[in-house]
Amino acid sequence: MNAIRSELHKLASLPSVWAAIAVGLLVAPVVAYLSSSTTLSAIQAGTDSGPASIDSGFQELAFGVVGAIILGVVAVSSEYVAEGEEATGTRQIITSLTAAPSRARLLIAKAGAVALAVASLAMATSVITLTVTRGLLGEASVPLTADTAGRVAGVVVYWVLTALLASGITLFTRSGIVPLAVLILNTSVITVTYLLTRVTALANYLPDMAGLRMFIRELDSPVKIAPLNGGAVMFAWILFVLVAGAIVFQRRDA
Amino acid sequence: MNTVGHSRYAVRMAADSLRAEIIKLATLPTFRLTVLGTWAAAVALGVAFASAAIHGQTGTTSALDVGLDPVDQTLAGFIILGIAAATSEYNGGQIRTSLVSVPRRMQLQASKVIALVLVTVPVAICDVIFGVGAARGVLGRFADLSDLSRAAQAVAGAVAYLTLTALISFAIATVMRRTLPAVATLLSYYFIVGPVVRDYTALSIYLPDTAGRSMWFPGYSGTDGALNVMQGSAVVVLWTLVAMTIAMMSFRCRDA
Repeated sequence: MNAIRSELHKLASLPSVWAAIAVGLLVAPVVAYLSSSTTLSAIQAGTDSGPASIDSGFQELAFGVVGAIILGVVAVSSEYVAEGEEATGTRQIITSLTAAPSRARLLIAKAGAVALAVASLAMATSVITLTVTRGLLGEASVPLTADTAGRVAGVVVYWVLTALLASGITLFTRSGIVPLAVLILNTSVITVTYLLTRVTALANYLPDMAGLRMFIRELDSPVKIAPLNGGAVMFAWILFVLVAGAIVFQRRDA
Repeated sequence: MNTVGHSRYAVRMAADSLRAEIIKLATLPTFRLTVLGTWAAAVALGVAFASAAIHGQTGTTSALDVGLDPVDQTLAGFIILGIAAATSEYNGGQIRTSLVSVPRRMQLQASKVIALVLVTVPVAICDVIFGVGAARGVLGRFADLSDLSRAAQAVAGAVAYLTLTALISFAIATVMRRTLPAVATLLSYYFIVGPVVRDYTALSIYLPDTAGRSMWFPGYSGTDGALNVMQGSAVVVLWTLVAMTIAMMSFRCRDA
């Protein structure tokens, strides 16, 4: 418990983490506002008969995950790279391992802290984004059902797993540049993995394409994967990356 | 010292300082790895896009149009190059050593910008050629590369866009001084905010990424309220100048 608390303290004292939280909280609601306004004016103009897409609001939450990515990367990279004008190359990981010599425990605590922080962030962002969408679209929006709650849970799981994937990759690279570049590129409007599904159906089982099934219902792909199966596939990927990252973390000099 | 001697001395100073900046860039591990990664990505994506084109998923089988698509993703590499060129000075206080050697701040900064352009242009030319070449290789006899003047124009536009974006990234990183925040900010803008805003607001044609599309994206310029090639280039150049001016002013005034 102490280990998780200290990892949460570390996260809370990193300015980059607060920036990541701000990005996470802002991107999805702002995009949802823009897209819902567009849909609304189309409905009012009569060019769209409504109701809005079943994915309105959720589509935007898929972009918002960028906040979770930044948080996941920074949680690990901050241990290795001290940035700042007076930084002299001191690496915090040495201090961390002095305080918590069991590497496995340190890593589990870190993953736990990231998961906790991102889960709360995802929950808050989902509520704000769906409120914005429903508030703007009113009657044209998709009715709230038990399924909506399940999909919000899907969003939370997707954000947490994506953040852990980011942390896992950073365990290998130590510098945050590569994981940020790869994962942010792949959160774009047309992602690289989506393009790969056009080349091979197997790409539907890549972590993000599978994980999106947890909350996106109208994914443009001939391969159908049930939400729970999609989540399981993504979970398996992230578990694999984290275990590999943990082995590297155990074996390599700190 | 007489005037001739003085101006010769100034020219030699400028040349030395430029050479030093080129050596710094060439010996930066981040820089080398990013270049190699970007080229590898250009080839891999060129192959992927061309395979999708063969399956009839892209609506075109022109090797030029398909081969230019990876520019959209490999742009990330050029953003990182620009950032690394600026922020590498701020780790462990290297900037102070640089300023001891070249005390005139504007001269130092000008050398950096020129060095970045000199290094980035060939990297960008290879990047674009690798993408188009890979697409052409996969498409084989389907490939249509007959219109050479259009090809040259599109390649030149893409190279200019990649280089100007590297300069904008350099300018922003000069103000931010830290690598990760700059990478997160610029990539989030170019890959998430920019493309999304493009779909919903008309004014977005004046933003650096959307205006930049007019410079290279096949069949984009002049359509649907988009700027034409010249207007798009002018807008991106203007953004670059504004960003660079702010960066220069900040570098001149702030403590190193």
